[in-house]
Amino acid sequence: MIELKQLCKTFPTEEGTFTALDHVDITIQDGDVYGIIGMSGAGKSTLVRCINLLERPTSGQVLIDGDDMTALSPKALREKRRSISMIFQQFNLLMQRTCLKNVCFPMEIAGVPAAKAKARARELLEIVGLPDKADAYPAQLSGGQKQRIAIARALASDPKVLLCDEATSALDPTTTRSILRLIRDINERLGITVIIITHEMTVVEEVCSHVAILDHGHVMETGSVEEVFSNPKTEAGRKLVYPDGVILDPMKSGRAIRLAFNGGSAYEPLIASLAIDCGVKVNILGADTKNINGQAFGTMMIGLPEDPAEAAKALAYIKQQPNVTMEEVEEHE
Amino acid sequence: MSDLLNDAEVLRLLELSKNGLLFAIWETLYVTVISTFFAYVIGLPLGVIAVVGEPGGVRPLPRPVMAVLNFVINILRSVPFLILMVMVIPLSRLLLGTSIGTVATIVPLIVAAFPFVARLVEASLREVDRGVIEAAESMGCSPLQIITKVILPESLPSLISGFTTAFITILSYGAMAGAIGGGGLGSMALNLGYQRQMKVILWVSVVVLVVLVQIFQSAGTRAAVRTDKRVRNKSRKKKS
Repeated sequence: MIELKQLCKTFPTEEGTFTALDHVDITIQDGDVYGIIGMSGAGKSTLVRCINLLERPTSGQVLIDGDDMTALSPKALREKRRSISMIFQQFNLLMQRTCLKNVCFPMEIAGVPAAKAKARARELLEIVGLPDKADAYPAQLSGGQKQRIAIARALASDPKVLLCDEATSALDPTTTRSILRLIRDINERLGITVIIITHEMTVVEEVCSHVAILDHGHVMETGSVEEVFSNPKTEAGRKLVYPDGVILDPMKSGRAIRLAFNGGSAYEPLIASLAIDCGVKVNILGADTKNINGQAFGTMMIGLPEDPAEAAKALAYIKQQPNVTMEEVEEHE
Repeated sequence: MSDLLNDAEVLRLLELSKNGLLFAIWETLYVTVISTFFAYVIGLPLGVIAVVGEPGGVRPLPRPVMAVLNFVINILRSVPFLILMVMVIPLSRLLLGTSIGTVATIVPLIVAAFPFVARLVEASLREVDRGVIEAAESMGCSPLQIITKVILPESLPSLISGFTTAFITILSYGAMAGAIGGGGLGSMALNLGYQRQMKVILWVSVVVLVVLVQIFQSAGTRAAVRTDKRVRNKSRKKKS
């Protein structure tokens, strides 16, 4: 369990003190995939870097399995860091080492015998799907492949926690999805707690079980992804969930449904076929969908007909659709 | 040059200096190699300290220490070599028991070269991506491990380029050694070629120096390129 308690971080600047984190309280259970989302400048990166103390908090506590990170000696801290791996936006691989040697690196510094480390590194390259790149140098790889190597390296120390600092922000959407799938896979297979820092809603939707919304150094909302995203309670939350300023018409009574498109065919007009096949007319209250390589991603908010029978018909129809998940949205403010 | 070669006197002297030329090349090389070696023994750690010791570095050192370090490097770098050679005479006498001759030129060469080497090393190490160092920190690397396993290996191609520059600079500085009775190609050009007006020797020694520099520069460049794994296509070509 990771507990951040009253975490504050300030930076001295020429115009006075800048508060990056202001009394942040977050609790992350073992095995969670925890998303921390916010606009740029919200303090996300500072927050994640406070967890492994790359950044030393100005005040407050970082408790990992009850141990206060801020109270550890430099040596004990280095020891503890080996159980908390991190991957980065810019991958940060050692460019002068082959992929295999990169994956060996954490074991090398921990004093694992070279032969054992190599064998383990080959296993890890297998896990991330790049066993054939063992002798390649990072410069020869694509961005997605580099991140896979970085993930293999992160796993080499058998960590309990994996911190992902904008790990997919330098990748294209397709690669992002494959990396996220790998991260989820790792979480499920190895039981590693994952903390994902991102500014992309889709990343959180894709893999996270829980989410915290960070804005100007404050935690605005925390909870399960469904809870927070289907019904953002704060301004910051709404801004993230509806980035284009879609505001639901409060005059519309009746039930609202939020649909998430997870990559079905964009050329199947769901709403139109709903009208034709079921004869049900729904109201599109707002939408943010993207067509990526012919697949639809994004969310759409629809208002159901007031007639309960018709509404049920619509719901049943939508439920049959592959690649579309839906949830009912409660009353909006 | 043909009129020079017809001069019987010069031909005779050239004959005499044939062995002299080989000896001069030998002197130049060993003075350069030994001086470069000790310049790195002193300069490399100082260059490392200059990078890791600064505020926000891998192992920050007290500001006064860093200030003194930078001050000493800057002072030594601003003294012209010809003057430095004279100034370190007492030091040469202390260390070697003599202040003239070929071996005695090694001391001023080291004193002149180590601050230069420190700055070259510093510049190379600064090229290492801050993010990579941070990644190593996040894995629990100690400062020493970061220096030996991340910073130095990652900047190896640049360090090799710097080494080539240092070696050639020391080689050409060494040519001034004639001024304090040292040997080598430089003093041969100066003493025989210039002062005794034996122009053939002047030309020959200069040409040999140029050839030496060319050889070392291309060898250094090749080594730097070969160790550089950051370029995508080149590494591929090498593998196939």
